[in-house]
Amino acid sequence: MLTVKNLSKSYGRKKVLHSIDLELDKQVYGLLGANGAGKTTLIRCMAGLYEPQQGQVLYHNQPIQKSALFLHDLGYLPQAFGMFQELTLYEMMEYICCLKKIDKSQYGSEIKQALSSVNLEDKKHDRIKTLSGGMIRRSGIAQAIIGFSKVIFLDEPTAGLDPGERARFKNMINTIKKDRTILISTHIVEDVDACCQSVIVIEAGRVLFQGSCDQLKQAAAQKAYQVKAEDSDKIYGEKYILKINEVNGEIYHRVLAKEKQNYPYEENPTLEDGYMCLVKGIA
Amino acid sequence: MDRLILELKNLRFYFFVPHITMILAGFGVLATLKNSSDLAACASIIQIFVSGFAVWWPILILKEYLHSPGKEVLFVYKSAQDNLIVKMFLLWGLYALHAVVLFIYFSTLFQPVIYLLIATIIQCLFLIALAYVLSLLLQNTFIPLLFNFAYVFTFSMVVYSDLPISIFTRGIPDNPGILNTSVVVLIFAGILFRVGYQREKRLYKNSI
Repeated sequence: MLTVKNLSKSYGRKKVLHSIDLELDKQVYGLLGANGAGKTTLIRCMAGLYEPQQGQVLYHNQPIQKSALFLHDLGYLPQAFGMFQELTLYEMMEYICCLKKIDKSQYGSEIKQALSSVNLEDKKHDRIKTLSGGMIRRSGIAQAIIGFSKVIFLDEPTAGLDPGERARFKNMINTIKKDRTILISTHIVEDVDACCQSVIVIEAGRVLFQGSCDQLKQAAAQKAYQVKAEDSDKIYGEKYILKINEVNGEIYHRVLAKEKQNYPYEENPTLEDGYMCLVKGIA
Repeated sequence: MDRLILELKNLRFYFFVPHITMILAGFGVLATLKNSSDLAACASIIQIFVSGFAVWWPILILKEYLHSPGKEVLFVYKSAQDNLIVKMFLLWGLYALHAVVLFIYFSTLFQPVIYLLIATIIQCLFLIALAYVLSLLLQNTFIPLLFNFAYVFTFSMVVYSDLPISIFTRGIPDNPGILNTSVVVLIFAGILFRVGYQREKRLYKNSI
């Protein structure tokens, strides 16, 4: 459906994306990567905002630059969202409907549906500048899903959301995901675990992994250990301390180790374990 | 057009600033004619207040495209009809319409007004083109706005209006001769729009 072929992008002499190849189908993808890994640049290239130096993005086998269908189907939420501060939320949604060339007779129903998806229907007459950060974020999500959007790119959609709003966001994604390609860029692993079927891990502009969440978890199979703090030093070989937490007054370390240790490994490694194993070269 | 209306709606009170300046221009001309009947001074007042504020709406709308959080959304769904340059012309047309209404009022105070009206509308086009180019070139809207006011206030004053870089007319605006400068100004406006459009195409591609 959406194919990224050999895509490279540089800013001046700095190469940010290195020959990226991706195949995206109708499901929810999590684009995981550290800050500065190239997630936003990749999404902007895929949305047609940036022209890559090399490679192309195809939608139904047609370059996105030449595909009217792609613009018709696209929903995009940038990292920062909050333009037209003096418009009401409803007017802002009308503006987005104009941008997406939605039929005027459908504005009302489309806006109602999008706003109810993000639980902002009661705020439709409020001006954007009076909304809280979380509400603006949700209004951004609403504008991305409004209309016919079959391909939705969400760049850090949960940044700035409180736990309740994050939970609502995940529920919303699970509600709307049918027959849609949704790419969620984030560095929050729990978000990916909660609502994505597939994961793309990007590091320093290179795709390290593309597969299902379970496959990524398997990258940490027999590599994650929960040990007491004092035993942490006894873990030999290449290792990475992922978490330090307190259980019943005792400090425990969650350690990722490349080699098999004399401690029992975690039977069910988490997505975070898998991701960190991959990024730290422990997998 | 619907989008432009919403963009103007977003300006709220600031949308009415040009209306206020036009009313001030009306009062200014009325006061000048009562005291001295100096048509040249009237022309200067009109050029300061009417031409000077032509860039107001375009600059504030460009601000959303250059500075607002989430401006990428405005660029993602771009199409041939969505060019900023088209918006600049539409805003110029809207402003010219307001100027025509004001000049209908002026026609009750002095005659003829047609040459000054044409000159003023062309000046407005030039200043909008200049603001458009500078905003896209500098990726900033504040400096072009300041530059616009500095330019207008300096060169619309009678004492400086005969300098070659002035776009303003001088003397009594009662003959078509005052439009000689306007032809050159119109050509320069066209050139500026051309340069600005090139910048605009690049703005979409690489400047977010």
